[in-house]
Amino acid sequence: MINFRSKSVSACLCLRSWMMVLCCGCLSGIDGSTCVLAQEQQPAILFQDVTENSQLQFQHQSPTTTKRHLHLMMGSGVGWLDFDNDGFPDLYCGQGEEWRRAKKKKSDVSAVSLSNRLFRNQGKSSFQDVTALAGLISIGYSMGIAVGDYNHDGFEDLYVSQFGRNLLYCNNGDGTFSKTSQSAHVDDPGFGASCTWADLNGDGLLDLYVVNYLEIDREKYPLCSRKVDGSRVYFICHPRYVRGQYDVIYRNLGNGSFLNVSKKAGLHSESARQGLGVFTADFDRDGDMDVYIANDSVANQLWVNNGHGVFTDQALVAGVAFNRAGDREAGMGIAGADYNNDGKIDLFVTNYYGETNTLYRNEGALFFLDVTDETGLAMPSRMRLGFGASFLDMNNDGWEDLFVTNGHVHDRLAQLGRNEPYEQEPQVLLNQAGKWFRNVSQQAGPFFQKKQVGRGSAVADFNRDGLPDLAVSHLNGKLVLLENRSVTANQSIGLQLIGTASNRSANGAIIELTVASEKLTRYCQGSSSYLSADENWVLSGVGKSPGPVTAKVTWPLGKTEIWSGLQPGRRYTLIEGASDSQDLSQIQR
Amino acid sequence: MAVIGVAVLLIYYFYGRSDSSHSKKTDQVELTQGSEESQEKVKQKELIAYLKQHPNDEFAHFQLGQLIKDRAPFQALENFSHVTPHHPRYYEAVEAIAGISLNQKLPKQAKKALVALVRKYPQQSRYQDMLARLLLSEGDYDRALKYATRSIELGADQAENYMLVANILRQAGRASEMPGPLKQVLFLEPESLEAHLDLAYAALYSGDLDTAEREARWCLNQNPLSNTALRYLAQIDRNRGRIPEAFSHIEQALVIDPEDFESLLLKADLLIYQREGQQAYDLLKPLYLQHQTDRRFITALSRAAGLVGNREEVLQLQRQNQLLIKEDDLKPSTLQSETVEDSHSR
Repeated sequence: MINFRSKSVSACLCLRSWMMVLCCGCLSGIDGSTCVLAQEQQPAILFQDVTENSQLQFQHQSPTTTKRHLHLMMGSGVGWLDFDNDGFPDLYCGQGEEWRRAKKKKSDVSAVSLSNRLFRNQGKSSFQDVTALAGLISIGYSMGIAVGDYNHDGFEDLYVSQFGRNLLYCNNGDGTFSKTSQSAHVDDPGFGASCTWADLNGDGLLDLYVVNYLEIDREKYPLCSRKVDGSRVYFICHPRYVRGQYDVIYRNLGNGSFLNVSKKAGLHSESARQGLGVFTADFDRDGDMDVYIANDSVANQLWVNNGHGVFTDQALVAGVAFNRAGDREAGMGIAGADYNNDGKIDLFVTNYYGETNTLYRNEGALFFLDVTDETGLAMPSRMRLGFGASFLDMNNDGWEDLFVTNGHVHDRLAQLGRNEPYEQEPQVLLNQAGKWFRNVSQQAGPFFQKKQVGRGSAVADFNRDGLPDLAVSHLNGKLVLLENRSVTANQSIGLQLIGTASNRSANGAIIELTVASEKLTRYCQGSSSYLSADENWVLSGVGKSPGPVTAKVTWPLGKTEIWSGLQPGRRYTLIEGASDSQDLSQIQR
Repeated sequence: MAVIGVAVLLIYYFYGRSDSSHSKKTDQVELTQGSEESQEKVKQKELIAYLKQHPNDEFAHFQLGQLIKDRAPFQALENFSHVTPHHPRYYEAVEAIAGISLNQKLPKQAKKALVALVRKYPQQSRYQDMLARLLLSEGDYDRALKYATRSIELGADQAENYMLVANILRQAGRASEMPGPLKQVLFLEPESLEAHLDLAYAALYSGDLDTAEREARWCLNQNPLSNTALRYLAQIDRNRGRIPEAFSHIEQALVIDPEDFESLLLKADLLIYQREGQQAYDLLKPLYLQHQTDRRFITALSRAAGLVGNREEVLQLQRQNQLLIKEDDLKPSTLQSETVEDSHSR
């Protein structure tokens, strides 16, 4: 029986020797001005599509059927992970699958193009397809991606939810992965949507939360249609016609295997819902991880943890089940961040065409307010069907901006007398000092003028220039890598958190940065957006402040530590228990 | 005083004269009507007696239906229903059934009759128009839109026809498509306040705040007492993040009508955003009895209650909202299936 804890300590000792490593992420054009949290007059947000130059060739496969099988419209996610610990985030792309295609053998060369793919970041803005080398060829309809070091060996592992049996890939640390889904007992056969790693029972190990979407029997696949001008037109079924499927919690037993504790954890205390998005955080700041689920056309759920991994849905009382009008919305993706820098994590949910995407402002004491209209997010989203959504500080001004990728689920709306576009433009919304978001999509580059069927999105500073970049997945389309080329004199600070007592990925850690007199709260999060996972590094804009920056980290298990003297424009690895401060949690008690 | 006295006398003289001539005319009309009514009653009795002897005489049923349709619409419906498709007056009877059913709020019968008329006279725009209005009232937006559009294609190009299309689109949650028909309305009736207001709404809904503002301001210039226009301006301000300006517009709307529910709701929403929970709560709570089935209101009250820390009330109100949500209470733009089958059954 492997004891990950002890392994993690030895790994940790090695890391201590190079703790506080400066990864030389110095930004160009450093300016000595002392202005903190700059608010630029004219936004110069620019993203360049560098997919081709980066040699990232990934074509998602999800051809529609005449009868419009609904899972084929859901798409697949993307996830950033540094699988080889070279300091550069690599990219894992979920692949779809043609309905009822003849099975291919893994050894088949053409199988690679039909498989989920891993692209190794070579560090010079170019990527290399290492799928086969890494032993990651898999054929199936993949959906959600979760990245986390579940066995505390210092290497990030992968979990992939599928329309079919889910996959767990254990990172061997030598550039290869082993498929351990069956032996680890996490091969849930449901219609998996988003999934995430989080320590749900506070034992220092990453557990799994898998959101399931619909109860679909492949042999009795639900098909929906209407008669139009005498002929039958099929379209994907609204979730009201198909039963929801219970989500699953797998508890990490610490020996390489997991236990399905969904019922015991309280997930069956209410009827199964049609879930798509997931975001975990300690919303009530009581020291444990809670889970927020975006459900499609039914009330969203906020599973509040009692500290022992048992949950009750408190979305109603928290004000996050419905929107401000009391309507249930068709939730797809979730992004979480402290958009107004008040120290509390807020939630952004993408929804259906005709609805708005919804921003819930955290008021504290587990109560949220829908502030979508007042923050200018209603107008840009009502005529869009949002899927992926990511908070990222595009210009490093200290305010978290938003990226949203859009695309409809119905491709035959014109035939059905509707004027709703199937392909839609993605959007970037610039945060105006926590008060309002300005839609700057028109000026943000050609990618934002191109109509596509967007699905997943994930953030990483893949070229280590101190600006957050994006990977965006498209249904039955090409993956796009967007390099952030925004012109700004602002700087960022990059932090990698490594848990020792807490989970090694530090998912759930809260970082409070003090920049001059301003405080910024950032989160080390699990999966977010739609089916996707951001890079594990936390990149925070700090404006034009010359520093130094102080980072107060509250680790998932509650311990608080401070690192002071951090310099903007640099990257740091912070290891639990290795700070220059005393254990504040002890003092505070 | 003398001048006033003369004026009063003149008014009395003319008033008295006109009044007496009016009463004479009225007497004559009443006399004629009276004799017509008595003639009709005689004819009615004769027809009833005849129908007792000849219950299958369709023309007699038709005649009786025509005779009594204003006085006894339900009996007339019964008579018209005896007219079969083989009878030459059948479609007149169907039209009468449609008219009575619409007046008597019998949508099922009205729809059946109108569908038959549309099939028989596919080139007649008025049946398409009537059917569209009926379907709109039933919430069958897709079909309503089909018939309203067809009606226009057949030549019904009055402002009211385009207005109908715009209304259907609004109800269907397809506000972004409203500007097309509304521009037609404004081409025909450039001063139509209703069309300008609807255009403001459509632009507001679709995110074109400049157009929304221009239209709302035009309406306000035409009618400074339009609290709908003021409310739209408040919403435009809110969406631009200009909260003080939004407050200012909504206060103006409330001066015009202090009890306007939509304005009160918007004001409460703005207060909630500004974390003035107690003020919002005090504003909303007295409206509870009147609006306890309005989910927007219930949710706003729960938000205000949450801000003042009353979690129990939040939960109770949110549960109330949940109970008020009906299974079919989906966004109008949601694509509904006519049939759900499984692949196995095919």
